[in-house]
Amino acid sequence: MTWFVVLAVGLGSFVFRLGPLLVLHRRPLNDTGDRLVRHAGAAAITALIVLSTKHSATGGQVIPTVLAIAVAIVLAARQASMVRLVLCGGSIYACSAIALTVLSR
Amino acid sequence: MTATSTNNPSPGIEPDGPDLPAETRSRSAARAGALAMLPLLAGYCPFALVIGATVAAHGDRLAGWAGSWLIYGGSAHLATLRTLDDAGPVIAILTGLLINARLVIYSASLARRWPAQPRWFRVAAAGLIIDPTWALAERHGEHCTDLAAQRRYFVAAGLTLGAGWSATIAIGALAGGHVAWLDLDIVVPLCLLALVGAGLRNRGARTVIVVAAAAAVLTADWPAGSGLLIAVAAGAVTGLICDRRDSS
Repeated sequence: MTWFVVLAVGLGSFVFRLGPLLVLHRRPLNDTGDRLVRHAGAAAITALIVLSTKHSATGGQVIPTVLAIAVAIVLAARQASMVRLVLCGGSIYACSAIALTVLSR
Repeated sequence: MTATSTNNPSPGIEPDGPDLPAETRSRSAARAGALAMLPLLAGYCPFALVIGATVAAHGDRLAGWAGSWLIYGGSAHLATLRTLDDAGPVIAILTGLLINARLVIYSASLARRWPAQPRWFRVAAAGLIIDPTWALAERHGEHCTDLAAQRRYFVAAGLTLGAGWSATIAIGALAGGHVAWLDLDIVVPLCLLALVGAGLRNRGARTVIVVAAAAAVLTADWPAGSGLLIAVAAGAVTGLICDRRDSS
């Protein structure tokens, strides 16, 4: 069953990837469509950030998650690298989770 | 992704120097693509370990791992496996496809960059389109107009990501529960934040991000990733409104 599901999602994803590359090759987007696509890309990643943050916070680590994301937003706005974001955000998450565990005892 | 000055190209992105021979230019483009992807790959490694641990917990490790190349998208891969365990195959497929529906946007975005690329490349490159490869290709395309260099840059970046991604998921799958204590779920949003970070400095892009985030929060409990599409639509329409307001 896992093979079937993985293959189905993989095939569908490939169609999503290939379709516009073939169709829009013949009929390019107008200016409005072009800008719409550009904004939609950033919106898609933002939505994924929210959903994955919610998933991380549902493990009971709400405060560490919020702190880590807040710091990461500041670093991201300063165009820090992904490695730096992961190291700083991850460190803050770990430290605050440990501190909360110690305080709750 | 915001545009950067032509005189100040992004790190790892080499302008298409007209003085270089074509072969050297293409080789250096491939190297630049691989090098530009390495820091992103390092950031994504913990994300891949999370997926690997999920693959291990799921049961069919080989099929779960195969998704690293077949689905080639961490969020959809992870959500598909988790939903398969919780809600069955139909909902799992729907969830994976809805999350990966954003690939239509990336592909459409690259289609306007690659109108002169040959068909074989567009078919081959389609399998490598995902958030970081799209982001790098967009940035590279702003500085490089050489078609062969664009091809080599994209393929090198995509294969570097794919090889590292797949290998790390395999490590996570083999390690199984040994990495669960690390509580690595937090790295997923951290990795993705790096991709939209540059937009936070631009007023229009910032509005798009804030509106998409608000819509995603409001629709987070909607079934099978449908809220994600609402958030994408809200952000895209907001961006258009901002563009019109700025130009008037």
